[in-house]
Amino acid sequence: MARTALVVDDSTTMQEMVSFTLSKAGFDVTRANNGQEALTRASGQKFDLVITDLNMPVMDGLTLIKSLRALPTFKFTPVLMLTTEAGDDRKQQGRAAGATGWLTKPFDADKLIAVVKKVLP
Amino acid sequence: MSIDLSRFNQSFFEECKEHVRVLEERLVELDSGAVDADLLGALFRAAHSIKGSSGLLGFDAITRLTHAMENVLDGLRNQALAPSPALTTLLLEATDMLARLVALAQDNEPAPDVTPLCTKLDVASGSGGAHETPAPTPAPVSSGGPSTWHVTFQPQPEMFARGQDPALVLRELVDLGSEAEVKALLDGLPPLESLDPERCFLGWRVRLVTTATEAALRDVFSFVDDVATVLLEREPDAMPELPETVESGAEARSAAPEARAEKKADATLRVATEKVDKLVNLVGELVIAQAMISRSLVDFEPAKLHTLVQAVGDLERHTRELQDQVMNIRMVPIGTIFGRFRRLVRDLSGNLGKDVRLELVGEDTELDKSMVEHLADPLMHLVRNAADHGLETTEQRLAAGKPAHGTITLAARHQGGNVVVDVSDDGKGLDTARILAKAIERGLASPGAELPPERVHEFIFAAGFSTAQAVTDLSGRGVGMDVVKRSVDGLNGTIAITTTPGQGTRFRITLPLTLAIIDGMSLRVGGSTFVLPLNQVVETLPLSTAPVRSIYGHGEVVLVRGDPMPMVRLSKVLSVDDDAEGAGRPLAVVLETGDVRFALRVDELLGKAQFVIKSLEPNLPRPDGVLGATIMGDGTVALILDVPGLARLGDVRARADDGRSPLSSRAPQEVYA
Repeated sequence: MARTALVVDDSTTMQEMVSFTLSKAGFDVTRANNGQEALTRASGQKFDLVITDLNMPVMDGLTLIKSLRALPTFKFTPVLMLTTEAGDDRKQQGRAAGATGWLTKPFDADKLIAVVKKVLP
Repeated sequence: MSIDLSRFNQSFFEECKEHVRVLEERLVELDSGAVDADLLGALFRAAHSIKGSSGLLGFDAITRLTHAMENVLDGLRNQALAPSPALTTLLLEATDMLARLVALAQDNEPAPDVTPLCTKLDVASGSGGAHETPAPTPAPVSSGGPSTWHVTFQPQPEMFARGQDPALVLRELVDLGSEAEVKALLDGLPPLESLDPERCFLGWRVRLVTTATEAALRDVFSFVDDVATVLLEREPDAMPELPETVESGAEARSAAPEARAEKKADATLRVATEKVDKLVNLVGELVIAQAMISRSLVDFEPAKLHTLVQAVGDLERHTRELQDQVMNIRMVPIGTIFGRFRRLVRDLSGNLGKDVRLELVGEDTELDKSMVEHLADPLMHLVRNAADHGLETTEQRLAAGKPAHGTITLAARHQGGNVVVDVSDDGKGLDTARILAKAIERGLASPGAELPPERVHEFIFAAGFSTAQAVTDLSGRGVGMDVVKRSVDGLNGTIAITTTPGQGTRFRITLPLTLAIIDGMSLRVGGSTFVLPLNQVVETLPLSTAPVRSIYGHGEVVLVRGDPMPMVRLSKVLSVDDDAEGAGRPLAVVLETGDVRFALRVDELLGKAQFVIKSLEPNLPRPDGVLGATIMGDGTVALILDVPGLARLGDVRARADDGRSPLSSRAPQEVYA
């Protein structure tokens, strides 16, 4: 059974790149354009991995992560955040919200796979 | 937790032993000239596999040695090196060291320095200077080489709540190193009742040999460094190891590893999947048969009786098959020890200056694993003796019109319920007259006695018997034919000699298939039932035909066809009350152990059967005179008597009629002419 991933980003290009890379790695990918959409999808399905942007309209990434952690099915799910810069305070905020790890842009497929490997068996 | 690598140690040791055996058995083939890719591939793989696993598990010395061996074998494989006897000897020496390292590692003892041997191997493979320190081997000095790190990783209990999996972190860390040893820290583990599965209470300590930089190591923990304490300590680069002077090739070949190997021999047993499958099948059949019985018992009526009888019959049949198959699990091919004799004979050939060839027949013959191990020593002695004394020198052989090379044959086969192992040589044969003369001189036989040759030959099994003029370095090591005989007796087996002057000698060892079941004779003494091993029972006589006498200095004897024979009563030696004098129809069971015969007084014989030996040892110290216990068909427990033990308790040797039984003095052990 293919593993499932939820990719959350308001930029379609970014969504495409991440989704494609994950699909190539064997994931069954579901997309969402913002936190709220993601949360709706997450309430109906369990995902093995969540990758989310931080700056998004409607519901931002940090809120999404906190909300996901409050759901019993996402209590222990690896959640990666995409950040533009390696700003330490951003990371700290993410961690505090419950993010498992992060991926700094510019996007790099190999880097993504490497990071995914860090958090998913 | 899931990746404490030390849990793989046991299977690693087993794997090592198999590879060592391949090396021991097949390196010798390098000398034969028939060197093919198959052989070299097998040898290379053996060294290579050990190297791979040992590196992962942190057995550095093994890694270094196998790496050096691998280089030589690789050279042979690529035809960069040519096989030579000297090279074979070196590789065999390395194999010995390897076996020793494995045994030491298994006992958690430190490994000796393998540098001298590795250097020799490197010189042989030409990789001494050119080839830098091998990759998986920690370089003691160079800064670019791998370093050893001690990493402590102690997650906070909240770690899981961030979707973190400590196992992944550990895996990533371990993947960076050439060697890793992971230990779980259990200090923080609360008692089970207060254990919250959603919180992490474990910590880990990792010993890692790696070329990775500190930054790279830190990076592993980048996602968790706020929810875990991470400590990185770098071990100071090792000092160059001090050469140990005590190790030499000769010592490396000492008996120690063998003894260790034997100690651990029973620890695990590798069983072919096929055998396990059969067992599972049979258990399935058993369950079906049992279900059939249960079913036919529901609303049972006489008309259903035949179904029940049939079901019980099935159950019986399957139980018997299951017993056979379970016994079969312990069966291993005797070839597992035959292999080491190739090596032995090669060494003997060199040491004795004789051209000795070894032929192995029936290596696939299976017998109980513990018997295979115990058989190794007696066979070793017989082979050694045959090479040293059985075979003539090359000149003598040529003068006698025989081929220059002597042949020793080790042959095993199944015969009935037994395994028969022959050790034969095409040498000069036993000198019957000389053995008889020696026996008379030693007081084992009366002068002028007319004994059949077979009886004469049996004298060589007496303790301290020898006809050799001088003790040779090889065989005269204080283990003699008496020890061989005793070992075989200990396995409930027999040994017989066939010899033809000028043509050779054959020692035939006949063994039961297993030690767990014996053919026995059940009997009653007083109110108790006992079992005697049938192979030690010579005959039974009603005491009415064999009168009992008391002879001063000899105690009670029974007259067997007029000859007095010491009699033992269980009432005396084991404090078992027998029937009052004269009650019932008591019998004398004549028993034989080693070279002594004596009679045991019993009240009644019950029958012959196979008995499963149950050890007493886990529960109580084994009393002298008792081999174990068994459960009889009616569910009662009977003791199995130990005949040599009874002989000791009854002091029958001292009570034997005269000096005809061999005395126990110590002397060199040679028996050949």
